[in-house]
Amino acid sequence: MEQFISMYIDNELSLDEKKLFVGQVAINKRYREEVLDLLEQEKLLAGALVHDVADLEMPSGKSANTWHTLGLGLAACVALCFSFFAGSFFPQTVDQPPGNSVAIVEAVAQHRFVIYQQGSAQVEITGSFTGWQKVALVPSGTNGYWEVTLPVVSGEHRYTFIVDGKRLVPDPTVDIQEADDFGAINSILVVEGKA
Amino acid sequence: MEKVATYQRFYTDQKNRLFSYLFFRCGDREVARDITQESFTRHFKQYGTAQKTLIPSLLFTIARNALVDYQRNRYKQNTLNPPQVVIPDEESTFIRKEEHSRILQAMGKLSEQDREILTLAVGGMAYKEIGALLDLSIANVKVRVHRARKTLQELLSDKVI
Repeated sequence: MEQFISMYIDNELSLDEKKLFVGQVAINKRYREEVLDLLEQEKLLAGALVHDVADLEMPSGKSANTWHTLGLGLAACVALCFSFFAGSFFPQTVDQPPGNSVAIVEAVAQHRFVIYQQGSAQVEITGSFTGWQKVALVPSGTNGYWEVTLPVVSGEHRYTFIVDGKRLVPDPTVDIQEADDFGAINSILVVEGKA
Repeated sequence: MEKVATYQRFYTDQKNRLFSYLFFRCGDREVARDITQESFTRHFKQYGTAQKTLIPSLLFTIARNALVDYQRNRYKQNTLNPPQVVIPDEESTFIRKEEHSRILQAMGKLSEQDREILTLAVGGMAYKEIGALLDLSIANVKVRVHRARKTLQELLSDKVI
């Protein structure tokens, strides 16, 4: 029964074990205090363990270049290879120069993000496709719309808008949303493409 | 393309966990960072993006071996100064909060086995995965994880730290 406390903390209890655990917490004051004490300890421990090692490079296997470099390269070559994808991806994207197709190393779509934020001084977007770096949107005329077009590789992406540097706003045009671990709501964008 | 997205998710999910695990094993942020990088590279070279190989215990096994290699080499190079776990103090830019410093000091006093299994559990690795990584039964993992937590609790009590 003592181990149930750690199993509870680590989400390892079965349904039957949960029943036993909750019953014990309800009737045994000492046990309850022990649970609360270890939960408090866990908060400290989890806080100490979570570190951001953002300067790592994800292996890509495409070359000796880093994933980051690959991403920048992809962004740069989008202009060249866009004509290849224009039929199946987002035709509303920025003008692309006509040109020859190049070897496609990754399916990349240009996606236009738009949000209405009348009266805001600044709107940014952050998401998995930007490496969670903030990218500024620009006003689309004077009617309160903000926009930016970004290269997005095929797959499932999470993102949110940041209004005036502090207010997180999910994309109102996207139905699928998900709460993250920090209390924010992310929109989920699925970009399909061929390999 | 789905493989790339799946691998990216695996990488994102595991990189901080692996870094934390290595940091608490070796006590050196730079070494932990380098071995985290090296482990992902080795895993990728060996298994690519195949979904069935995107298993935390596999990645962590590679990391454990890489850490052992590093420590062995370092020990050979400097036998007068064998490797020791050095937990950064409050002055470190890495740890800013006093309570974090305190809990890190306590973690530094745990046995290596307790520190390892507790770091894995707190990092979110399932007991089944921990068992596979450390070659322990799930029942044994349950016992050891809780024992490590209790030991840490005792170390954190005012009488000890």
